[in-house]
Amino acid sequence: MKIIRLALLFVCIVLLSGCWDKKELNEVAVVIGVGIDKVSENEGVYEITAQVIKPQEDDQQGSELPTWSVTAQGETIMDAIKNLNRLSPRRLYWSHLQIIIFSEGLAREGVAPIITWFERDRDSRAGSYVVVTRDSAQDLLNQKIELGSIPAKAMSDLLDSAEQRQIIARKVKLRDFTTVLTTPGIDPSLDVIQPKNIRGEVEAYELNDVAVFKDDQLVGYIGGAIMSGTELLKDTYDYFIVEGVCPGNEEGFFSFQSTDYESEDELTLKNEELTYKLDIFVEGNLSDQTCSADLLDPERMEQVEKEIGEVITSRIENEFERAKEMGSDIYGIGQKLRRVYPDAWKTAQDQPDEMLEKVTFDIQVEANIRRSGLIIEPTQTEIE
Amino acid sequence: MEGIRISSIQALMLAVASITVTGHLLFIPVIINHAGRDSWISLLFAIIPAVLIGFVIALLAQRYPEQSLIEYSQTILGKWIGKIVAIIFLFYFFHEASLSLRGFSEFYNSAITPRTPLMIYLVAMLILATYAIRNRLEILARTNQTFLILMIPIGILASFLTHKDKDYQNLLPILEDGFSPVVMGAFNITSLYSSFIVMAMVFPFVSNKKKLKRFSILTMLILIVMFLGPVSGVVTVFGEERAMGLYFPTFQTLRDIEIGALQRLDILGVLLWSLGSFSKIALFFYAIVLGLAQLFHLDDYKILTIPTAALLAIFSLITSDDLIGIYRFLMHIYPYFATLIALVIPLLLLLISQFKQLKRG
Repeated sequence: MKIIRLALLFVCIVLLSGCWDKKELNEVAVVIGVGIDKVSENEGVYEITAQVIKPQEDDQQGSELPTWSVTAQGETIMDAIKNLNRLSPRRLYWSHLQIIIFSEGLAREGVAPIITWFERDRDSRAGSYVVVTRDSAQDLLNQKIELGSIPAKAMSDLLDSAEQRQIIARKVKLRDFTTVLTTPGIDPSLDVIQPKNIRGEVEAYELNDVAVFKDDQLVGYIGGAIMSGTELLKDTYDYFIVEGVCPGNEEGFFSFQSTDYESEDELTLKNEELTYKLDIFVEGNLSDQTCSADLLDPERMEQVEKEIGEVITSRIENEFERAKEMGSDIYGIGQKLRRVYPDAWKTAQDQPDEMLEKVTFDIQVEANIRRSGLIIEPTQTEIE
Repeated sequence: MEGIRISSIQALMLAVASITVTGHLLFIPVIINHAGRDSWISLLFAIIPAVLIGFVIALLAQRYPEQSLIEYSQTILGKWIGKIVAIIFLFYFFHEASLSLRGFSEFYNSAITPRTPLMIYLVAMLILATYAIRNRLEILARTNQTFLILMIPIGILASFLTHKDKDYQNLLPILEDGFSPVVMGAFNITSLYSSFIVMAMVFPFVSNKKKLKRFSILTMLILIVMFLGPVSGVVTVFGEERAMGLYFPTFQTLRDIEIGALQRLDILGVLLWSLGSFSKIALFFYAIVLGLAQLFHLDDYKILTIPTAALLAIFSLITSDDLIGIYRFLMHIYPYFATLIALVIPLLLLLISQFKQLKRG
């Protein structure tokens, strides 16, 4: 009897192992990036480009990309993916999706209809980055660049290691994007990735602007230094670089490298006026200067610190102003108002533009220069 | 059926495991849909009814120490009315078991393995549960004890790992729409906790009945604490609006954990809910067959296990066409249904028994 039981158990172990839903690596096509464009042909509405990793037979790094970008159109995303599967001999596998790229034309018409599938599908992860490109997403994905062989991976690395490179990027993941889209009183903003011409040829991707949305529709771009305002407001970054003008009558600029950054915010409503108060603390290194003055002299250092504070303040205020002109609330003023003054929000939510008009900033920055690298006085001071 | 004894702690653990798991898996979206970001306040409100539930069941068990719910409802209400009430209770157990069976299978089906037929999960779970309860309550209690000791650290770990993604400002503003959604949420939680009534089938086998009241109330408080984390966690991670739109919000938070190389921790959730669903289904299954045996004065419940398992599988398949149907039921009907059967009727039983005692004494 015992032997029979043991034998039965053994049979179970042999028969029940493994999964009948298994996906072998050589039967699936791993999608690493996806670009979505809007097309105005009769055939379909959306054009989806999936970048699939091509299994290499040898280590030869030829002029070809180790990826295959497959494109199809459809009336819904799922329809387009069905059409993709007509072309791909292997089943597309979405679990390793790193990046989702919207083209400008699509983003201007609204992205909410597109992300539904990515959220519903059980294979996809909410950890993929979401970015916008000004031109065609398909072209961006097919762009060969110098550093990084897989375009989609290179783009997600561009965002992933942004802080290590002391660059401020939005780094919006699908989950954050959908959360912001569904939350009233805050509008999303995304990174913009563009191919960059160097010496007449495209050799890299550039993280250049920020795409500003109103609800789910792209309304404009913010470029230049002020595009870091949102992240400075939220204090997501410790490491970044601030440039300022040398104090006094000196000609030249300095660069300050932040190593610690904290901000505390408070929204107050008084006599119909909204005051957004920010207490910012930043410390770091004076890393570079082009003027010959000794900036570490206590008096000048104080001026330099003041200048750093003014630069940070102007970045935060200017980005807000630019977004306000587009009617977008990327700082989430409405959301904060709702949290602190729910009653005021009830009347304000119908006129978000008027609410944004009433906002004034009160930003206090406490900047500290702690170190100045390996030298005390710059060489040009010595020369003079 | 004599000679089976379990300790009070084992009983407590059975209750904790069986209520938490269906709660976290299926019921959190229901609570959030009613009370939104104030769900945690609902939970605090629910302390009073929760303690009441624990108190009523424990008091009845102490008053009739050797009798189960099925037996003492007949003692209290007389043979015929008692039998009808007992059948209502049995139906409740049956429904509860089939609901969590279906919820468990639907979870697998929509979140993990979409091509596997529901029947596979139903049958696998029922074979396990049947095997466990044919080996009597002691085995079930000890298995559950082992699982729960594993499950609680995993749950705490999950809550730590999601901490990075939480923004507690998402809980503001508090009480935006006044108290009525909060009260509605508390009512829903009460209905979920009412399934504590299943312990009335287990308490006769607890060796030391003196501390039952203390242990029952402790169980209810542990349950409140165990729900605070997931209920507030889901809202702080996703924000109220997004959290309302998710089927398995707690699972989604686990899926999205990403701390360096530590990611794709779905398996933690799957592990928790599979083990916990086993405990719950086996416990309710046990309550059904034991209750049936007691109702019809059978010597042993073993003969009932396999037919009941088959009925459970069929009933959980026909109970609803789809997951959405189950949610609608949980949202709009279940609170009234469960509270009526599992809280109001026991309360009436206690009152009647009190009245009888007064009359006699």
